[in-house]
Amino acid sequence: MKIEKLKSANIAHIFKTLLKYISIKLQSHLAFRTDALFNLLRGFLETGFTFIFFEIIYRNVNSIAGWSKGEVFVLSGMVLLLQNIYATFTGTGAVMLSFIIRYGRLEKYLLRPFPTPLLIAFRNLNFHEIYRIFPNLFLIIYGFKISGVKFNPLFIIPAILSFMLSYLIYLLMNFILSELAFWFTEVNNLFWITYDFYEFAKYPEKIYKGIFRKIFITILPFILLANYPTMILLGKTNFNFIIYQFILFTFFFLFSNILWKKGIKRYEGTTV
Amino acid sequence: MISNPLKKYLALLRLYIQNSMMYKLNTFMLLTITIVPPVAYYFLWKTVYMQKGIIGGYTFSQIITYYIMSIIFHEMQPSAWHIGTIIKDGRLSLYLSRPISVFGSFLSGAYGYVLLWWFFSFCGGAILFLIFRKFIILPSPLNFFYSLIFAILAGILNFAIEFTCLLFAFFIENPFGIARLYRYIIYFLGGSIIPLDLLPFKKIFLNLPFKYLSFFPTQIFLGRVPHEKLFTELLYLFLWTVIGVLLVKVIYELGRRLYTAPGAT
Repeated sequence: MKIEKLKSANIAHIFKTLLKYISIKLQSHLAFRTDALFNLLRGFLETGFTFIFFEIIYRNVNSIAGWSKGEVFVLSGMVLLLQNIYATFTGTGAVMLSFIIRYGRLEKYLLRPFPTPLLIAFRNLNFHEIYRIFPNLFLIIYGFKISGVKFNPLFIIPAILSFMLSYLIYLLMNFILSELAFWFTEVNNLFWITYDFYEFAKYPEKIYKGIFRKIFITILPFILLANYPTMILLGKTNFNFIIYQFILFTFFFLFSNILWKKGIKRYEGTTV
Repeated sequence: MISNPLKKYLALLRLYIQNSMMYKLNTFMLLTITIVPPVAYYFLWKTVYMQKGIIGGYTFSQIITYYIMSIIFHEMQPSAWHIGTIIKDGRLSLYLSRPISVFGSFLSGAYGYVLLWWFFSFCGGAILFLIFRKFIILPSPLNFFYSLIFAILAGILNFAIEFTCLLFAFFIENPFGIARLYRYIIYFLGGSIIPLDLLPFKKIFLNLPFKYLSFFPTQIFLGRVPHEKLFTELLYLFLWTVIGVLLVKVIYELGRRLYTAPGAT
């Protein structure tokens, strides 16, 4: 009962603990400097390859579904940025939940005075991914510059809000897959699904038609993940999309919560 | 009659196949790896080709077939990732005491896992061929066979290079940065992001061994490589593979002298 009380401690306490944990992990990561160098290089290559890919396409056409080259670069930067930030902070943690369940190690986390799903999500921080953020930010700025779109500072806060909601939706989708381990034991290949579906996030939303468009905007909302924050930043849409993202976030949050509660009842840590 | 040394590796291969098939739903999910990305590529390239009929010598049908096949060939490559962890954890000692080569043991294990991926990749490919049957280019049986030969041999070359990258675990604390960098480079240089002959300075990329991973087998599949060129290319690939394996041997021998595993289990 005491643990339950501690788990529902105030948000300030949760954030303080998380920040402390992130800072410790960052210090431990910085011990491997060679690794950091290779990851920075990988970041530049990743952004560079995306740049080359669209450069080749735009040598042949003027626009893709009404998106100019600069606008597509902003979108690509946003796609990679979301992927990098997600992979840095919660990417491995969300996947690890399934392994923790499979190997019967969940008790270790259930007994700690911190909300269990949050603790597991932030358990494995991958700072080697963070270096890739810088070239992606550069791609966004470059894309903006060549797009000719006038930058409006008023769009920054709604775009960040939309980006954060995309992050949370993506995290919850992965978390829901992990929670299936309560029922199916081994689910690690399921994560390839979200990784593969992320391909749909990489291109302008207008290229998708028919049933695929409907599915990837509602049940599996991959199309909107990077498209909505980009469209808001470029002034290509109004802020109503944020409300839609919030509705989706609420749905995924509730669904994940239900699965968690049902899963915990099924859980047996027999291997501990 | 299969000779004894080969039998050991085949037994390992069989064990790893059985291990990878333990969880049915999980295994079945491998199908999505081949199916999902080409659907997104289809929508992108359809929008592009609506504005221009031929891009860099590729028709819409050719580009769609290219992406499906290059993904399948890319997924056919075995991974050497495990060796880095084994050296880092000090568990290499277990392998050193076995009457079997470390490289051979890991190669058998990697093929044991990847064979299942081959099966699901081809099943996924078959589903895609059905979905996009209007656009897909089917190869001649001979071209299909040749493309497979190249992809399989290129898999060994790729494994040897990735293995070499991970052998740096003997010399540096964390070799995974190099290995991740290598993986990303070959994804591009192998032609999985865009056909190599569409790139600027394509002559450079077409002379690197990485083209054999996805680009070259796909070109054979599409019937874009004359058969008389195949023997020379196979010879080049074989030579690159020998160089790759020799590189493994050299780095491994250098690293093994530095290896210590105090307290490892």
